[in-house]
Amino acid sequence: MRRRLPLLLATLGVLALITVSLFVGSYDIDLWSLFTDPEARRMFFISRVPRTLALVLAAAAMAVSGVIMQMLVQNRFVEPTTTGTSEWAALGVLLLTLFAPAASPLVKMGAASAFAFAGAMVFLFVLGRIALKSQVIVPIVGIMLGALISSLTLYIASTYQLLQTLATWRSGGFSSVVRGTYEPLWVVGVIVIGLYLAADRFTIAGLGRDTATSLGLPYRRIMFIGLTMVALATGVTTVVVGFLPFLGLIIPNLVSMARGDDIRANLPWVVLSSVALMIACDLVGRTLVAPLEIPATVVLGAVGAVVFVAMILRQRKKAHV
Amino acid sequence: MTSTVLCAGVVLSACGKSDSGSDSGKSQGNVTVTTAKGEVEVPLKPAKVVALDNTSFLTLKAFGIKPVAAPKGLLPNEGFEDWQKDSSIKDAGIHHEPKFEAINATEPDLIIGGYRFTEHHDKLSKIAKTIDIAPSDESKEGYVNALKAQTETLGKIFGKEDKAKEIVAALDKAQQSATAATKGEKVFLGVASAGKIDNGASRIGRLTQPLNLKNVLDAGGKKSTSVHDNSGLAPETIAKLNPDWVILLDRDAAVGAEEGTVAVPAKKVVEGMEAWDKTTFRSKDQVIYLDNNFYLTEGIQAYTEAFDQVATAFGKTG
Repeated sequence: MRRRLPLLLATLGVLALITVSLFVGSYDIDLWSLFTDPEARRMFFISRVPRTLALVLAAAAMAVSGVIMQMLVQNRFVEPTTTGTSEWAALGVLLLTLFAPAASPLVKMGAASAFAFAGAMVFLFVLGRIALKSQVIVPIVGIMLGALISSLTLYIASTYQLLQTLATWRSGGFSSVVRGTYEPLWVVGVIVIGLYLAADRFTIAGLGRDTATSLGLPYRRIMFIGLTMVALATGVTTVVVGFLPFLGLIIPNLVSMARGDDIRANLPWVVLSSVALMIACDLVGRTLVAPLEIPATVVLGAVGAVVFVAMILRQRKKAHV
Repeated sequence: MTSTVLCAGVVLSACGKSDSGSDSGKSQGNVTVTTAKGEVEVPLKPAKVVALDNTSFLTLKAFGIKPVAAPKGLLPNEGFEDWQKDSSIKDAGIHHEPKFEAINATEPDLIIGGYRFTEHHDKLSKIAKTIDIAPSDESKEGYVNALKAQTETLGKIFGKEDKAKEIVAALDKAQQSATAATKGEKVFLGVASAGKIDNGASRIGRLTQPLNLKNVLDAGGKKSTSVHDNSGLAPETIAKLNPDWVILLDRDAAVGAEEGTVAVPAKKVVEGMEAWDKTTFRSKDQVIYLDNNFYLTEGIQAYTEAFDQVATAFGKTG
């Protein structure tokens, strides 16, 4: 019981943040009006609940994607935005916007996920050709690859006058999330549960191909399942709320630093901390320039970049010692 | 004599062709016009014009002028099919990537730059005389009046003063009736893009400047809202501000749709927004959708049409 206490406290903390998120916004909703004013109650379920759920699910999606990729690539600094996976998803969405602008969101997510999967494969392929696999080189290769894809996306967007559209949904954030727009994110909830069930296998896969194979793990299949999960989570999240930079990188690392590398035991912590950070960033974005908003992704990007650099510096120091 | 030498020095072929017409061409003299860079002397009735400022396209068309080059990617979807298909009009690229070589190859007498092409002014000036007469928010008299000045200047250059006066008069009339029809109503100016609706004050705030309307996001006289223009706006915020009217620019409609396919129209987004069910503008159906091409025209004709739209819509409700 005593060992469970910190987790319980963390859960309570996240619940508190969720409550704050439910009651912050332009429309006047407080506990009293929630019970007495039907219009406030209506708006609560149209706007606040979906937005908060979207924050929770999207944060979990990116954190879990980060965990899976870090295990599969055996590198602490990878996650969808440092492997180019998100950029590929964006390219997929853009191409679909171009060729079938009226496509349903589900088709868009399919395209985004397929491109994300292809992107992850390209990353792994390139990684296989690199001799120097230092912790720092791998994400840099990924970021370069992402920049390449991203510039292709920009080129296409600028040729077809879609730059503004691209910018709008890439940095979209959570401001436009209402009932009817966030539901696909529930897919991510399923992925988180799937990962929890398969956590031990990913922990073993994280020991490397040879070790995993000699321990009887079907390494290729686990790899495929893992990448599919990441592609789905990234694709869906990119379409619904845009890029969530660095989230899948900083949180799993901070949790690992504090607790070691047991995925199954870490997972609740990873999810809780990601949700907390995501909601905090969104709350900042929501209140700073009210009634307008700064996208949570921008706040997250600023926080994430600083932590990322700090981590790399720390890593280098360790390497020199 | 000098003109013959110059002419021979510049282009032999062009001279050969227009030998008899050289009087009506270049040697008609010059005219001084006011541009964003001060007073500039430009050739009167230039024969070969490169049109880059998209706000000038419709006026040029009304003058019966066919440019030698234009940014085909910036041409509105409707009304410019002839320019689009005409191979004698070279594609000047778009503002992100102008095709300077193509522009240079047309050996223009005058380049109408400015607006989206403002940052390329110096490079363009090396090719030929380049003027920036595009309207801007920095214009002393405001964007709409700058549109009038632009039209008058074009009239002066091409010797079409009467036609220019007509165009300006149409704007004045539309603006007056729109001003008379508006009585201080609260309005939200939106931009629809990628299926979302954001604050469009910095883009179409120009439209309501001369009107009797109150921008709901401009409360307290703060200008700051336009800084975070595209940052995001929760639908519940609009519901809370509850504007009487919404004026909407549909960006995707102007650029997103390929032939045979349709982008999600702004109307669908607005009407599908549950959070807006109880707002005044939805219950009274007080939403004005600007012309699909507004984003790409933005010239004096686009504003005339928009003012007409406002006058008609507000006039109906008395």
